[in-house]
Amino acid sequence: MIRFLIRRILGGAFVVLVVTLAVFVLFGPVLTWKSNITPARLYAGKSPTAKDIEQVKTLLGLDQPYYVQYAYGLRRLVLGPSQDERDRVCPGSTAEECDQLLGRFGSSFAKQRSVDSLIAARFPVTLSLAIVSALIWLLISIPIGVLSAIRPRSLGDRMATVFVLIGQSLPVYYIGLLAIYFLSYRLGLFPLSGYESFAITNPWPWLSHLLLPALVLALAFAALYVRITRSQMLDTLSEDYVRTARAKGASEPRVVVRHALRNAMLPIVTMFGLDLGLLLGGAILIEVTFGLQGLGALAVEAAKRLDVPTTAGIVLFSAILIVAANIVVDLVCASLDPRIRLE
Amino acid sequence: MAAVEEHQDLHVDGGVVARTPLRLAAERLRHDYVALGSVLFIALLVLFALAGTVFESWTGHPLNRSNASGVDDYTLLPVGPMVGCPDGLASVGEKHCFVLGASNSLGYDMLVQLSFGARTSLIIGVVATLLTVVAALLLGVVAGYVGGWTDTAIARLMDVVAAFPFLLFAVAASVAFGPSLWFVIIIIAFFSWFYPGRIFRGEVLALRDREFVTAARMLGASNTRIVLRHLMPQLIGPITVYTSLSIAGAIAAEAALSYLGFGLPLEIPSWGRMISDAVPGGLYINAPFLMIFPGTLLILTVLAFNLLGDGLRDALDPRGGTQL
Repeated sequence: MIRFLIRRILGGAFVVLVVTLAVFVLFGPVLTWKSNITPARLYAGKSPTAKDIEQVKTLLGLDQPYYVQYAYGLRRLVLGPSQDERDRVCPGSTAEECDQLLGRFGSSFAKQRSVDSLIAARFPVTLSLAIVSALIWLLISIPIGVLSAIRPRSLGDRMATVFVLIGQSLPVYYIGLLAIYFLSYRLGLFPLSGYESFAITNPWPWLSHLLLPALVLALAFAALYVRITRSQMLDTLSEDYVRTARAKGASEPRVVVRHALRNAMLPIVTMFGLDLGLLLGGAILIEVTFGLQGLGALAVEAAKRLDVPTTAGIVLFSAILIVAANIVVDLVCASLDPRIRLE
Repeated sequence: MAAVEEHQDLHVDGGVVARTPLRLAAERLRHDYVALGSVLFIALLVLFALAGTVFESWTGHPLNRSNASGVDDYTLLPVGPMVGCPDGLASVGEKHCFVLGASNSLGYDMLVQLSFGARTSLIIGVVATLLTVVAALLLGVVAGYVGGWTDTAIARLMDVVAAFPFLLFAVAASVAFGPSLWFVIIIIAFFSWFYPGRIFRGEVLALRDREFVTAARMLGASNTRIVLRHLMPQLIGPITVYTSLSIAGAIAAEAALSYLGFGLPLEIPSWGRMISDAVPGGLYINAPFLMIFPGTLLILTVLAFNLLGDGLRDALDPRGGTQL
């Protein structure tokens, strides 16, 4: 098990390393070559003089060759900002003040803050959206998937098929706009937009602001999960042990839930963990549409302002998150199914 | 001519006609009304996209040109459908008639923008899919056929690409590359090849050890010949299915990217951007048709390619039935 864990962590670290390299190449050489923009010019503000640009280059360490810049960036990501960089970026301030300005992911061009603190401020919104919508989609899709697997080719199954095909073809942002127009504006069922932070005393404002966006996001995923649940259930229902359970005289609900569904759940749980990345992608569209100030909305905002460190920081942060989630999923699967860790 | 027909329908004794698998599939498809409806819709969409210049000359509203008559003088909202058409439906095709209204607060003509937007969607859908399928075939077939560490490496690469969110990376990359048509096509292909790639790999993996491959190898066929002449014909089914599904995916991806305001340069019209044009200042609350026309067209288009792909799958592999 330990060997399996180490191998997976090394693999994950390698993937993150490749992503850092890709991000560095994109926002260094490619940005300069394709758009004729250098980060130094962006940072220096409107109509900078050549001298301003030179100063910024020294400040951000952009006067170094690319490979040195990359090595410094990687070092900062792993160990935090070096003393040398702290002295350059925030001279004369205490370590705590400097942490507000400079973090592992660098400091934002648009705001005088570290990218770390921006991500920390926005991430709870995205996480809330993800949790609520994941709950909704599992509650919708697993029962529908199970029911349509029990009676394949019935009317209900055919309707589920149509639901899946339509659900997969719907653009979440357009459905979001329609939902705001009809449910929030015309019927006044939900707040129009925005986000309220979670409070244990009165969670309703938090939930009411999240419910509609989470519902719309869940719809797109529910379609996918109905499909997987149905095909997994169809597979397990034709297994020998299901026939044995029936032969022993177990009731039909017991056969379906205890014998078939339990075995069908493992691939569904795996999928669920792996879909974290897709969820982050879907969250961008939902956050922009519903005016939720989450990580995805921050990425779009930063990219529009050419705030290079923030955009890069969010990409790296999500990459680390996704890789970590993948490792956790692998571990869970390996502990449930010994065949995987012996592979 | 007669010889060819003779060859296609092999008359076995007693008047029994042997039919090729492709012919059987075509016959099954002919009775699938959902798939036929999708084909009809796609054909109409192609016509609609080709008619862009005709619409321009009818309405006198060129592409991407703001029209003063397209904005209401008092409300400053884009004008609604049939504004500027005094005789109702009879005046469709006359100059300065906004058949479907204006598409944004500058008074662009909705009909013209939609038509050229269809062109954009179809071009991106087809070209990105071409790249996707070629890349998926190359990597999938090599992984499945060669096996060993090549297979492991390619399979891991597929897992990694699959795990990362397309939109976040596309937004970041579009900052570096700047807006361009080719950027959008390539980034979509880059994030979609893994899915058909996995399918092709699986197919080849299953076929590789079959008797006909061993027989071909016994007869001295080279690897290239085995792949091209013996394996590829078996892949025609999945290739057709995933081409249709990929087109749907690529069209949806382009629209999402344009909705966020990245990817395509402003002079290339896009349904996704038309939907996002309805958002600032809550424009769609007062003029919902701004999002409903491009949104509905987008849904129907993506649905048509998905349904067609599904129908093709059923027709080519009847044993699988309606594979959900």
